[in-house]
Amino acid sequence: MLVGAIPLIAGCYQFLLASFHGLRRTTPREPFYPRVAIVIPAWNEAAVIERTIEQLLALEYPGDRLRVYVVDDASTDETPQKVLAKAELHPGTVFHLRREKGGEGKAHTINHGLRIIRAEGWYEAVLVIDADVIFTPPSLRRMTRHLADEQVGAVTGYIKEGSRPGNWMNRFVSFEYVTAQAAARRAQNVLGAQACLAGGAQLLRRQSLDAVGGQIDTATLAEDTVTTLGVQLAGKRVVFEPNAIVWAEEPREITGLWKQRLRWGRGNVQVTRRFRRIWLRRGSAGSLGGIGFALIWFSVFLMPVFMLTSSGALLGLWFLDRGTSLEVFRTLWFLNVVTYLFVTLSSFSIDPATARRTWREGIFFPGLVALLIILYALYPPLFEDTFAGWLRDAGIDPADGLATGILLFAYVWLSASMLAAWLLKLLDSVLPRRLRGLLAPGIYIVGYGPLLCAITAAAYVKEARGAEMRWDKTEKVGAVGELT
Amino acid sequence: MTLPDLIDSGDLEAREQDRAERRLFVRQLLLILLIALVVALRVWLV
Repeated sequence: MLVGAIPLIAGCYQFLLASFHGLRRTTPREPFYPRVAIVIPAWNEAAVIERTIEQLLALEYPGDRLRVYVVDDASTDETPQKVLAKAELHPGTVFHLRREKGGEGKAHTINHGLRIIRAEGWYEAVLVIDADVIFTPPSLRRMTRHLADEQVGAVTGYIKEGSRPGNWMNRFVSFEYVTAQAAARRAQNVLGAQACLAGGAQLLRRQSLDAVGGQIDTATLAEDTVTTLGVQLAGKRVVFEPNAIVWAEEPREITGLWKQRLRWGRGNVQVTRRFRRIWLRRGSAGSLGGIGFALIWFSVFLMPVFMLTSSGALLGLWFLDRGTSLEVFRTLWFLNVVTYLFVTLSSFSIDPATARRTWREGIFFPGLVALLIILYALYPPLFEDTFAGWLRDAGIDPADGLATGILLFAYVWLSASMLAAWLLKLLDSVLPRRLRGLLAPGIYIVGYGPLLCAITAAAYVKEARGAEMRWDKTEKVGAVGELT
Repeated sequence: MTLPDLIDSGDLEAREQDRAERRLFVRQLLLILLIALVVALRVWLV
């Protein structure tokens, strides 16, 4: 049962740390403008690449200290023509680097660009971004100012979902990013240990790039996490800059999200294994080896295990001692109430603009079923007296098998919700695209959180099977709207 | 934007961002108090 409480305690701990961000960190006052080489890996990005380059050229940053390198991974669409046209318009600033033999994945594409940039030797910092992200004008200078401190090796920005008009899935992702980025990375700033530079906005000091071997890891599916941990193990800090806002287009359907997050999930399994010597070893790994960082990392990484253990234990206890099992269930879910209120309301407070757009998805993040259980845990008489009274009025005895069935259903819901989310994914993959929107109510009922848990569980299975590592590119159509 | 302009606006902006972070701390403090009140009410009522 204690295992079931771990992710709840970790959630509260993380948001508590994030609250102290303003007291523990000070924004650097002096601007700092190193020569930045921007690397954009691109494979068939014709729909988005022109706009991305235009936004980069419009950054509030001295023009002579910025170069944009688009690494074209043997695109078969109009990406090369579009980039070459921009390079012609901005000679010496925009460069088209072509890989004739592509298809090896994003990390290999980035490395091709890094080899050329390092050989040129012009850069003082490198910014690796995705082809579809839109950097807001002040974002880069807000990131580079941290590099004035020699102890800072890398900086990341706040990636926000920017699809307009966004659908229900985009709104769920938007809310998720408030918790997983705006809050979690603030907390990690306070801890002095960052788990991951956002793949779409990784600013690395030249020396830090050298320290991780001058290239991006190609052996895992989480190359950004490997870089992040590598920079910190080399003795430099990694900083999250919450005011450097970068807009990105995220999946619009369950299947697209599943593919993207399965890649991330498998990457996390690989990273956990590869860096097994840092966990809980503060002496050798510094803040990365602290209890706080391990709590944050493993509360996400082991979430499906926690859910399954918790349900199994409740069910086992029910067979042994029904009274105690009910007490434990209420206590666990009351802790859930506290966590839900703290996390949801904190997220609204941390990013009010996103909250105004996604408050429904924030409320329904754990799903309608979990919300009903939360309501029960918050105030049991509501169900035990009021609803039971309604049932009696309807001629149903709430004390019979129905009540037991509902109770057992609530006990196993933490695990069953993952199964339900997986079934929704299966349905999504067989339905024609135009009908997939019909599954939206299913996610509001089952929960977006359980969907993420199910993907993590699927990542374990894929890794255990030793499935082929494929870079399934997230489909991008240039849906990022006019944003400020 | 010229370099001196950027330097002037950078300092003001950084101060404002730090103030916003401190306001966030106060809001979070109030939120914790509110949740503590909910917990107390629940313990008292149930």
